[in-house]
Amino acid sequence: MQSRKKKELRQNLTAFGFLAPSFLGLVLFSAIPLVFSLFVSLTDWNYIQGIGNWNFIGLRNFIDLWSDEWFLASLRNTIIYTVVTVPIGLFLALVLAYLIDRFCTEKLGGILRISMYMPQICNIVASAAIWVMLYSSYGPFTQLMKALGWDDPPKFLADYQWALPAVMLMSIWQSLGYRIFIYSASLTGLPKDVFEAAELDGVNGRQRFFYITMPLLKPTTFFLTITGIISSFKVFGSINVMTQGGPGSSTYTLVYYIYKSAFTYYEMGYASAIAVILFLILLGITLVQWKHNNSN
Amino acid sequence: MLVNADLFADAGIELPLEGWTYAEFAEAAQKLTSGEGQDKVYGMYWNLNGGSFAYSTGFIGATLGRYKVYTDDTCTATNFDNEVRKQSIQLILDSYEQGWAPTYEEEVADDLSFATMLLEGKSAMSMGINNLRIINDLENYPHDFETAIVPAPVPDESYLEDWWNYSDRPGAGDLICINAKSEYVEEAVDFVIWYIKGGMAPLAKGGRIPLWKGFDANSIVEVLCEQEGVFNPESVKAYMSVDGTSAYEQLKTSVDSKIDDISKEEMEAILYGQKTVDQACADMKTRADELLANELQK
Repeated sequence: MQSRKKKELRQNLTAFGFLAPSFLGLVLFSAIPLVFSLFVSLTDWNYIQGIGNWNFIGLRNFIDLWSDEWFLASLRNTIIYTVVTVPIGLFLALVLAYLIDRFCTEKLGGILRISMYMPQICNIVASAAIWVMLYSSYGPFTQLMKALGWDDPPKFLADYQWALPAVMLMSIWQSLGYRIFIYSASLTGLPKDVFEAAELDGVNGRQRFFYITMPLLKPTTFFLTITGIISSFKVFGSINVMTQGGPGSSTYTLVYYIYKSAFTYYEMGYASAIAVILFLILLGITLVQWKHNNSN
Repeated sequence: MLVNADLFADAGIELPLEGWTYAEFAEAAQKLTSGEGQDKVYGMYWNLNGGSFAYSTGFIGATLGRYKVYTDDTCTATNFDNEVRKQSIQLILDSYEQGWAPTYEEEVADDLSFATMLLEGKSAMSMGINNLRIINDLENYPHDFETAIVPAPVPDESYLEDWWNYSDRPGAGDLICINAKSEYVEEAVDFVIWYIKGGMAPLAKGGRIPLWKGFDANSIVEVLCEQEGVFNPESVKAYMSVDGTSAYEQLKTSVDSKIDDISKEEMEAILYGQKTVDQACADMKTRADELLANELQK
């Protein structure tokens, strides 16, 4: 009896020992900052005044946000960014993954997938800097448009209407490889018998894609949608390198504005309030995913 | 301002070491502009991309001195509707229309910089005294012409008599702070005094120019002009003879960076042709003053 208890205790201690490092990391780098920023969002803390020098101001930061045009622009741009990049990115990835799966040899498919995955592992600052060059008036986009007869092509990053789409295009390109990878993995795991049965029934390629492949990939699409929305809401690096929020505030996004408020204006309380709003949005999206997973 | 002295000499324009007006500046810039397309050399490169620091301190500051942002020492209202500011912005717009400076759109779209414009011989003049440090760096920024330091122009002759009294930042040193809680405050003060009285001379090579009146100007000329043909010695001497005292007097508030961003945003609205100069300057002032009022209330 005694030895069983001892054994159990040892087993438990071992388990806790293995859990401890990541638990500690979670507490130190997620839980404590989360609670701290929730608290700071209710104060007027300015970074320069040092820790502890804050006044509790209730929900004032959260009220002020809605009359702040920079915040409203950030929220609007982030939503546009997400609504555009996620569906287009997913659709392109699905089509490409499907084409690779159907028409490429194993070797060629592998090469294609890896080469398209490259942007994902490439540093965001480096790829953004390259895209700045691509968008310049001597870059391929402008030259191509001119060659196609467009006299005065847009100045992309230097244009109120084009700057955000230009950054969105880069983001679609960057996450394409990762999405193709996930889709490809799912495609190979799809049950073969369904396709064989469909073939016997005389299904054509289009029907096969839209009525069999796509529905079967629904869980994958759902997973990629949720993670895509979350990462779109967190967009920062490309904005900071390519546009710094400009022209005007046409490419301000939530995280970029959090960064500006916190580290340019030193308004930690206000920045935390925006972070809390972002947290609530992402929490909502995660809950939807959670509910969806449980219902499946 | 920093200018390509060789292009000035070729065009037969004398270096304006005693100051010059907007009209004289525009005429020179037009004369210094040549070529077309990729080979075009612009008279001026405004260096407004990524904020208008150089323009604000160098160009507006040359006339309004420490009052370039705030109307007076109380810092309760901004000076954005000042006629000098409007005139200088109009000058920028004229430069776009007359083709002697790349437009702001081009600056942003092509990611232009001081290094790619002035140092690659694509513009004859530019701003940004902080670029002194890269001019002597021939290894990373190779170029084979002499750079001269000249004063920024002023709106008209009435300002010429005493422009140096207002000159906002004739020096390019750093501000040194001493932590009040330090155990070695006196030693730090001793160090700062040694530093500003001569210790910092070698740093001129990296673009740190002292403001102290008693500084031996020749020691700076020697350091900056160590490599022959990089800096124009006459212009460095003239630059060092300007009394930089006024640069000590910077007006600061806790919302400076926000006001900077407001002025940048409104300035962009003008440069992209979304607003008129009057409209944007008025909006700049309204928005910034509102911010100041809110801050004061807090």
